[in-house]
Amino acid sequence: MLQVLQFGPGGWGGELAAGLAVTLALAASALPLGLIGGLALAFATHSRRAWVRESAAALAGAFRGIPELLTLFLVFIGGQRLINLALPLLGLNGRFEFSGFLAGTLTLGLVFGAYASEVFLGVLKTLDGSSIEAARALGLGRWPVLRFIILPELFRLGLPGLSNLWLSTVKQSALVSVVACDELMRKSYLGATSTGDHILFYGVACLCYIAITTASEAALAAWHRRLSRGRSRG
Amino acid sequence: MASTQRRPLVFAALLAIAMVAALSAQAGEVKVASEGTYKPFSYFTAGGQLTGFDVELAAAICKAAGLDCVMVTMDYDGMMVALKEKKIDVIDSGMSITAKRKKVVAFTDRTRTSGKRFVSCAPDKFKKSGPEDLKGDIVGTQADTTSADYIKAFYAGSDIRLYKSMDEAFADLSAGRLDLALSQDATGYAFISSPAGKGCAFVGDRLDDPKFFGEGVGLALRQSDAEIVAALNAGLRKILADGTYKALNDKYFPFSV
Amino acid sequence: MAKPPFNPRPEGSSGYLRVGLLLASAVGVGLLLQLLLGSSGIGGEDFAAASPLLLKGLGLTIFITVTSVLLGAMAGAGLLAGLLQPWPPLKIAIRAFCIAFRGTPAIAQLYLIYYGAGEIHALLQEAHLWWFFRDPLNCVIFTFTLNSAAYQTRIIHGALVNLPREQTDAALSLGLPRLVALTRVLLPQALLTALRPLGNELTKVTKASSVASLVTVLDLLGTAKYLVGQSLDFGFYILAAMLYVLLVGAIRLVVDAIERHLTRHLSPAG
Repeated sequence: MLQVLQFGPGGWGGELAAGLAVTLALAASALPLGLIGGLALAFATHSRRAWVRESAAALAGAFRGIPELLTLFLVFIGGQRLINLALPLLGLNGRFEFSGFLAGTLTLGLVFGAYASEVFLGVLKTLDGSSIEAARALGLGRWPVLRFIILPELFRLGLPGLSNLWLSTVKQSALVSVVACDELMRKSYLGATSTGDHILFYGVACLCYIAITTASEAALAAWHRRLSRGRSRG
Repeated sequence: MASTQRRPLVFAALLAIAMVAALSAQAGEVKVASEGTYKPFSYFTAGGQLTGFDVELAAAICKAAGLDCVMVTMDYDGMMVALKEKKIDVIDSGMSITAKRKKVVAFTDRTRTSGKRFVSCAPDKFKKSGPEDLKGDIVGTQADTTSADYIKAFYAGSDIRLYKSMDEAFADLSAGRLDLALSQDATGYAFISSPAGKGCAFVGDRLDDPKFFGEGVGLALRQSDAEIVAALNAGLRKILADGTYKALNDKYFPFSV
Repeated sequence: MAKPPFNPRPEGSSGYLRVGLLLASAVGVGLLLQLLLGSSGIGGEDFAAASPLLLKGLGLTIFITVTSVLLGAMAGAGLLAGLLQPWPPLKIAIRAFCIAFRGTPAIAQLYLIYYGAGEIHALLQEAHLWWFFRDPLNCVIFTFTLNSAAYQTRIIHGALVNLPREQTDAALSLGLPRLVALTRVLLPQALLTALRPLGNELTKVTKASSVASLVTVLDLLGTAKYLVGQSLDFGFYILAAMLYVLLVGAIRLVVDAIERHLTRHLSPAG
């Protein structure tokens, strides 16, 4: 039985390992998109213009309410369609393949951003203005205040919530297998369908996911402890 | 804090990775899609190699036609949409040539016949396969296929299950979730000859009513790609003439497809 | 006292505003997608033919969600009871179960159970269990019950553990037996804290149940997929998306209302 899993041309071990790498790449690529998107949505919710506020709320609500699998389908087909429309408009002649990986990255990023905005909004509510007032008194401008005061605080206080989102994202990456992206779940599916050893392949896949999530959880908790060093009550 | 300064760079790097991984703009290639989960026509070996009768046939036709073809895999239920959206150029998935489909896509000449037969893994229980005989039983096949249309038309009295792929349907058949599966006879034959299909057998006669099953199986393309269709047809004629087709046929099946 | 740097949105926006926002977001996103992506829009006759199917799918999604979460709650109660026993092997086993089901994707769990059961169907037949796992819907509900049980156990256990120690001390010093202290004093308070996460769990399962479409179950997404395959018009996906947003939003509103009602005795802003 274990022979099926060996690395090298005879077994599926190499394929599964490659799939694992793609899974991690998917989640890692979605991360910057999601963080930036979440910040943008959170700040947009505090805009003075009503239409910006309401659009942000609607967008976030929509992507929190649509199942990730369906969002993936919409992005996959819709994205390809948009590209097909846009290329002739831009005068380009070639063809751009909107790959499953790209659709997966965008989907995971969008969903991450929608939930991250909630995390950031919650953190923003608890911030008081004392450190900002101090910085302003020292003569720091808007951008440095944002970069050195607000963002680090947002990040540190939001880390527990964001850690959960990271774990969700890693697990949701398994859905991208449905659009023929060769990550871990798809490789397990192909192996299982090809050999009939369903329990073996899906069991191994589950063990891999457990390994990733447990390791991530431990690392993120340690990071949070380190960031909260020397502070009372977070 | 050093990490605040590092962070934007890390983000930029991750974003760059994402973009690079995603960009796959190519021109001039012909993308041929098959399922990868459709033994013995398109499947993966242990080393992750895509192979199968349909895959090798398409490769041979392309070579004879002088086209630069790339084999990709995707789920069958997404293929028509993908073809329409120019994600792929050719559907090589055992699609039967029917009048209904000809309205939306262009087909090459027939690459193989498309008779269908029922398979059962409890052949003593199911001796006949008429609609009356199978009333109340669980019958399944792949979704969006001519087999699916046939079952929906004639076997409304049975419990119909539609699957993403034929391999999944066969998995459920040998597990006993399905009583009978309708598939192309070559596929059914491959399943029966495999270890998973031990004890299973064909039930009933070959179904090849052209009204439902069309004139055989062909490669499907967009109607706007008429030159590629012509090139593929030329390639097909060539390999039929020079014996490549027959060699491939014999490699996979003991009968002529 | 320093003024907060950002003006928070006014508290207590009325329920009508929320419902309005919900409908607007659902319809707005749907229209936007249709516009951008040039879907042909659902024609009149197609819609008439499709709506009963879609409603059936919606009903099935609701059924799967409610059944799984309720059964999961019952199973979770059992797991919680086990966790509170002073018996390490049981605690370790339950923790392992929770780690397994919280650390893996729902799709992997479903495939493992569905195809795994198929692989060992002979064994299951001998154990007279095959009739259950034979049906894909049963497999889906089974998977999500276990999944939800793991999450609910963690939520309530977390809420219990975070209660101030004084509550337990006070209850016990009043001479209340342990079980009564647990059920009459601690759990109600814990459940109050757990309301929000439990509401999240409900919406989470609603969305996650869409993977049932991958194993031949015709829930809302499965029906939409079937319709898109038949018509080649992916407007049905957009329609399904709007229905999901409305469903999740409705659940959200109800849970929020319950939470407001049950915590009305607490002072505002904590």
